Amino acid sequence: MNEWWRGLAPAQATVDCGGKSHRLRWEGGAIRALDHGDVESERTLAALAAESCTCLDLIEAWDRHRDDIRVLVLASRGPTDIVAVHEHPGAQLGLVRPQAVSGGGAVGRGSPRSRTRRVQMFSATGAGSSGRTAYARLVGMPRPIGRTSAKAQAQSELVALLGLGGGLPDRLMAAVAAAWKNRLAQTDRPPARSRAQLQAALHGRVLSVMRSWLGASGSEFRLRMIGERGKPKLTSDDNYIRAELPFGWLVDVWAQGLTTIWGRFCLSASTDDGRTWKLTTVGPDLGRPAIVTLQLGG
Amino acid sequence: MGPERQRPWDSPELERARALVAVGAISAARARAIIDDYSLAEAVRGDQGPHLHYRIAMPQASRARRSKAKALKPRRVVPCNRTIEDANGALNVRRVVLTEDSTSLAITWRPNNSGQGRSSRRGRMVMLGHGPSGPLQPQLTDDRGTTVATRFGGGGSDEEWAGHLTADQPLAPDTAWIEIDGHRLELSGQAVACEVTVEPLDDEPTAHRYLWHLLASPDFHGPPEIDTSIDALIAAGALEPHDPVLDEMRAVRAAMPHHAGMHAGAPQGARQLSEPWRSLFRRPGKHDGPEGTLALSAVTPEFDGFSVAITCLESRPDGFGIEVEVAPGLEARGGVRGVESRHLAWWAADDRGHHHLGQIGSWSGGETYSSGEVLLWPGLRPRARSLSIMPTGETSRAVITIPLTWGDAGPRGDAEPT
Repeated sequence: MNEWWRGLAPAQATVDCGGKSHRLRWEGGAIRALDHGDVESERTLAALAAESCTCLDLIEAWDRHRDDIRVLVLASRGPTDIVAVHEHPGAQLGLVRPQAVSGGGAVGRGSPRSRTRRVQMFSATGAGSSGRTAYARLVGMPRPIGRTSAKAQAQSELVALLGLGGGLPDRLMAAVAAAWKNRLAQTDRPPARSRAQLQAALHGRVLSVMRSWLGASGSEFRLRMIGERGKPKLTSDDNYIRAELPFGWLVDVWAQGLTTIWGRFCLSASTDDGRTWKLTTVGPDLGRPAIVTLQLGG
Repeated sequence: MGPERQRPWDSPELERARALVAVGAISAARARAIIDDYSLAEAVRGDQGPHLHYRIAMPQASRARRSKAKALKPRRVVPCNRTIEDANGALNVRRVVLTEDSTSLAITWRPNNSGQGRSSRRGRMVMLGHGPSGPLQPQLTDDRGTTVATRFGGGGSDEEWAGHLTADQPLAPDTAWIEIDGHRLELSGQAVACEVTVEPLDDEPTAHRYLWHLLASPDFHGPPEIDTSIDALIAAGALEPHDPVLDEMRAVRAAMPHHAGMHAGAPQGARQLSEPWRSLFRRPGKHDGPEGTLALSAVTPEFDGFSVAITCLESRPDGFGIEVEVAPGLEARGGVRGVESRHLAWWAADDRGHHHLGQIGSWSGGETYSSGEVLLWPGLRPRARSLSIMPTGETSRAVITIPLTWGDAGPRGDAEPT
């Protein structure tokens, strides 16, 4: 896979791990637990003590879902599409809702009064298996009883990851989109079911951008997902605004926060070093595309 | 994806999925996976707080496949209408139903509240499976000397409870009598004999059949919304956008009342409807149905994956109701519903060609068995001499033909139509 993360600023969130505030940081395409030195040793120690470690559990969950196509359905489609994971469901599921403290594009989600709680993470068994989930005791709250299915387990992990603040959910979304862009580049015809999900993921996000960019134009929007090597277009006729974009637009443009610039819609974006960008853009008149060059100074 | 919608069974995604699964445009497993994903996506966008974990658990429930049909066993239904009075109150036993596996009594209980402050509560409240402090829990004894405890399920108020006493263990199905806390009840009455057949439905396009079936399954919210399903079927190529049948379906939906039989006048366009729909609206405002109760012992063989038993028909001037049991369990609309259809349409027709449509009233049960009442409208015609109840699946239906012989139905049911 190419370095799809070039240009993306680091993102960081804190979580309550063993009663202490620990940092999870995404940078350069990878997520790390900054407050744990030897991760493997700590994992072994935690297993021997039959304890869980929130930071390590979250990183494991991240790895399990870094190409999970469901992330494209669940994650935010843009600034107006707020994913709000409250602390109670997370705690009910044995998950922690971390507090965001910093990070590129950090999104403050959830109630500011939310308190993090120390709870055990997930089950003792790995992904794809059924396991018994450990739950934090919450007064006055009913608790799920018995074993959880593998699917419910995966869903609870996804909810926990989407509840991470500090821009980490957007980075997870970018990672998943990049994984699928890579797969699309390797096959001409992805499975029909995946293609429908990818098309929906792209459509929802482009539509969200269109609505905030053009407002209520009165025209209906149609999107055709073209191949990764296809030429992106944005045109209109009497009744429709028609976009032709590759799925990779989500990685190259949307994830980079470059969807609109100077009031222009970005059809594609490319960079060699992550600091200088060449954007192909089109104005609200949907006329001829124009190139915009961006350079990160300093 | 509306953030206000909190119940996944309300979602248009589910309606679309059910339509597409019904016509084979998508597999049930695939549809379930999509619904699960979008349901969770909706949940994390709503202010659902502590309910989110239920959303995650819910797909497990809706994933349950339709249970394999197991025909209900024949039953002995004995009309009684016997009242037993003691210091605690008056217990009216309307009917006793005995099978190899169960014994139940349809009862009305009026507690003796004299000397106690009467509650101001007059409304009925549902009280299923009342606990130890419930209205009554008598013991039953049969002629073999077997004595069993009972539990009550039903509803009522401080002044009257109506429902069923179910024995913890079955009594002998052929017992000549039962005793209720020592009060003997001779089981000499006979239920009305019914003719039961099963027949396939007429051939028609699968999408038409699905939509008609949907239309014939109203609930307490009113007639079902069909345009979401129509849009999905058109998008999948299972329907033509200008299919004239769609206009007819929309006209039927527009004519249907929000509550069974509530039309005071004929709805606009009702005369243009085809049968069986037209006859539902033929006599608006006429409340001249007979009053009476018939005990029935009809059990169908398996049809369309269901087996149905009917134990009672009760007619009132404005409508009539039947007590039914269904195996496997029916999903009452408004409950958690999967992507595969698990409901029956309840049609009826009398010997004069008039039709009636039912909807589920009080209902309980689970995956393998359910029971409750079905309320049908409009009321029976005074001159009707027989009635065919037709629980209808998607490909076949049972036809249970009941002679409306009110005089032979037992002490309470023998009232002639008024």
